[in-house]
Amino acid sequence: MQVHESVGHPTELDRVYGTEAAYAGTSFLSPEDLGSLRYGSERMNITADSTTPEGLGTFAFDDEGVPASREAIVEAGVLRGFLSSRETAAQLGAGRGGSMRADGWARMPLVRMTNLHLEPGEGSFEELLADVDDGLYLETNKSWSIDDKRLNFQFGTQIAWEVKKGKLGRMLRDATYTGVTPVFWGKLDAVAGPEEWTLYGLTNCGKGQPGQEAHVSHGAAHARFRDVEVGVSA
Amino acid sequence: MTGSLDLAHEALRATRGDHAEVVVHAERSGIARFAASIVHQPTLIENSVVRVRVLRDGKVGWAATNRVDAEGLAEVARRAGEAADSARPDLDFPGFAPPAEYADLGGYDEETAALGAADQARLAAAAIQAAGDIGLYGIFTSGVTEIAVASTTGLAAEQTTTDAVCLCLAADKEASGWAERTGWRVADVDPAEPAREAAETAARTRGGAEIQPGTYRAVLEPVAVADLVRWFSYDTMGAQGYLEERSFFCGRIGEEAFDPKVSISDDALDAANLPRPFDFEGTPKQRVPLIEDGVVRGVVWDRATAARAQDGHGSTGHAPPDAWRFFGPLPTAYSMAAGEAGSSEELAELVGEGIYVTRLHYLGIVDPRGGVLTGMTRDGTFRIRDGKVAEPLVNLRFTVAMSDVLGEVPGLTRDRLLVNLNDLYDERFAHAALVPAIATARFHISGTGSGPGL
Repeated sequence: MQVHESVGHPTELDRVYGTEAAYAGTSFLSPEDLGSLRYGSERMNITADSTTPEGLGTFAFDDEGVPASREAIVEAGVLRGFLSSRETAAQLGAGRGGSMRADGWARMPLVRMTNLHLEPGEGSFEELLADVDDGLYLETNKSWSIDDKRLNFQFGTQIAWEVKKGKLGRMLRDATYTGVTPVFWGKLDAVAGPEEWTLYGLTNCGKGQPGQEAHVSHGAAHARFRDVEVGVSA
Repeated sequence: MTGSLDLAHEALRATRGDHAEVVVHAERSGIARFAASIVHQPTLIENSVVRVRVLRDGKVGWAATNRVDAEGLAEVARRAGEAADSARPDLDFPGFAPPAEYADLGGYDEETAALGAADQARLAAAAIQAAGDIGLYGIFTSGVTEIAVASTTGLAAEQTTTDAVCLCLAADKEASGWAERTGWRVADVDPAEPAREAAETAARTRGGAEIQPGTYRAVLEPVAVADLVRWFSYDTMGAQGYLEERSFFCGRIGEEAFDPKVSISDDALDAANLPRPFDFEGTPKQRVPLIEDGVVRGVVWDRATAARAQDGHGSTGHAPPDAWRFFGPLPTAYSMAAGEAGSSEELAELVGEGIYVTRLHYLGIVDPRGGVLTGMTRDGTFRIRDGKVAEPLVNLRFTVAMSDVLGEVPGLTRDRLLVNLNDLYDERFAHAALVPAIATARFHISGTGSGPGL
C-alpha cells in the first residue's frame, strides 16, 4: 500500500495535469520532474509492469490498445517515468501510454496503475532485522490516508513488533506511521532480495467521477526505513 | 427504463425454488465532468441491473444481469438457482421480507428527469462561467433512478427518484476552494452558487501558513461535518459493526457520550433529504435515532443482522445496495439536528481562537472501537483569531476521536446543507447528509501538509 499510495497515484499523469483534482486530487510531481526529481534513496527502484505473471493488472493491451510493457518509474531513487495515456504521454513528450483502463462498459478509461513493484534488493528478512538496534517491524497496512498531492500520509497497521538488537520482541497494538513521501522514501536503506519478493493484490483502487475500481498488483519484499515517525499502543 | 417493477415480476416468474426475490436497479444519468474550466469525460448511462436471490432447501443463491429480455431473465433465474444448489444451507437466513405499505415521500421531479446531455453540459458551463478567472474542477450530474423489489412473499415495491449534484473545486497552483449543491429537484441546484462560493473561498487561501500540531477549537463547514459523520458511521452506526464489536457504540447505548446539542439520525423519510420509502429488501424505511441529545441510541439494521442479533431487533429498512453488502446495513440519509447560530461566522465568534475547515480529504479509520479517524483538510483551511476567520493555512492532518469532536460543541448553525455522499461507483444510488456547520472545542491537528492549490 505504501507503493500504491505514495508512488502509484502521484505518478499518474492525469493527476499531474490536474484532471482528477476535484475528487482524487493532484500530485506533488510536475512534468519537469521527469529524469531529475529525487524520489527516494538509491535503494528505491519502482517498475510498472503490465506483463507480470498472475498480476491483477496484467493484460495483453490496455483500453487504448497499447501493448503491455515493463517500464521504470523510479530508478535508483530518481523519477524516470509516469503512468500515462496516449494523450497525456503526447502532452508530456515522453512515454507511450499503456495505463488506460476502465472498470466496465459504462465507464471511460482513466490512467490507472497496472502492476507497480518495488524491485527487490538483496539479503533476507533476518539480515534486514539484524541491522536494527532499536525499531519496529510493521506488518500489513489496515488503514491509509494521504493528502490530495500524495505527500503527507498516515498509515495504520494490523500488527507490529518491537525490534531490539536485531531480534523481534514483543507484539505491539495499533501501530501507525506517518511521513512525507520523498522524505520517507529517502530513508529507505535496504530492500530484501528476490527470494522475499511477493506479489500482492488490491481490488478496490478508487478513482474518477463516476467512480471506478481498478484491480492492481504490487510486488514487494521486506524493506527497511530509518527514522520514521511512529505511534503504538503497548 | 420504465417498468422496473414489471421487470422484477417477470424475472420472479422465471425462478424455480422455495422462495425468490428480485431487485431491479435502473438508471438513466449523465455526468458533465470539468477540469481547468473545460468539460471533459462526459458520461451518459442507461442501464437496468436485475439481481435474483433464490432460496432452495435452505440454501441461498444470487445472480445478476443487465440482459433484460426474456432470455436474459430466464438465464439469470437459472444461474441464481444453480448458485443456491451449490451453496451450503444458510441456517441464519431470515427469509425474504413480507409485503408492506409504503409512504409516498416525493423524491421525483419531472424537470430533473427531463435533463439530457445538452442540459448537463449547459449547467456545467454555467458553473464554469460563474467561477470567473480561476479554473473550475468538478461535476454537474443528474439522473433518474428506479429501484423495484418483488418477491414470492407477495412483496412489491417500486420507487422512481431524481437527483442533481454540482461539485465545484475552484483552484490554481496556489489557491483552492470548495462548494457544492445537491437536491432531488434541479431547481434547488443552481450551479452558479457553489462555483462562486468556491472561487471566493479560493481567493482567500493564497499563502497558507503552517501551524503547530495540537488540539484546536474549530469551525467545521457542513461538507467536513458530513464526511466525519459518514466515516464514523462505517464501523459505528451499522448493525454489522455493532454485532462484530467494532462499533464505538458497543456498551454505550443509553450513555451520554456526546454534547447534548448533538443529535444525529438516519431519516430517509424526510423530503428535505433524498427520500426513500424502502431498502434493498423492500423493508419500509424507519427514522432511526443514532445519537439523541448527546445520548447514544442505536444503529441501523437489515433483516440478516436483526436475525443474527437474536434479541428482538427488527430491520429498520437499511439493507444496502449490492455493492455495499460486505459493509452490512449503514445509514444513507444522515440528518444532524440544527443549532441556533445564524452563520459560520457566528460559530467563529464562539470559537474565538482556532481553525476553520471547509473540506476534508481521504479519511481513514485509525481505531474503529475508539471512533478515531484521520485525514487531511483541503480547499479552504483558515486560522480563526479574535472570533474572526483570518489568514489561510496549509492543509492540515487531523487525527481525532469523534467523542472529542462531538463531545463539546459550542454551537451549530440553524441552516443545514444537503451534502452529496454518492461517489458514483456502481449503480447510481444517490444519498446524502443533511447537516449544519458546527463549532467544536476539540479538533486535534497531528501534522501539516502542502499548501492549498493544485
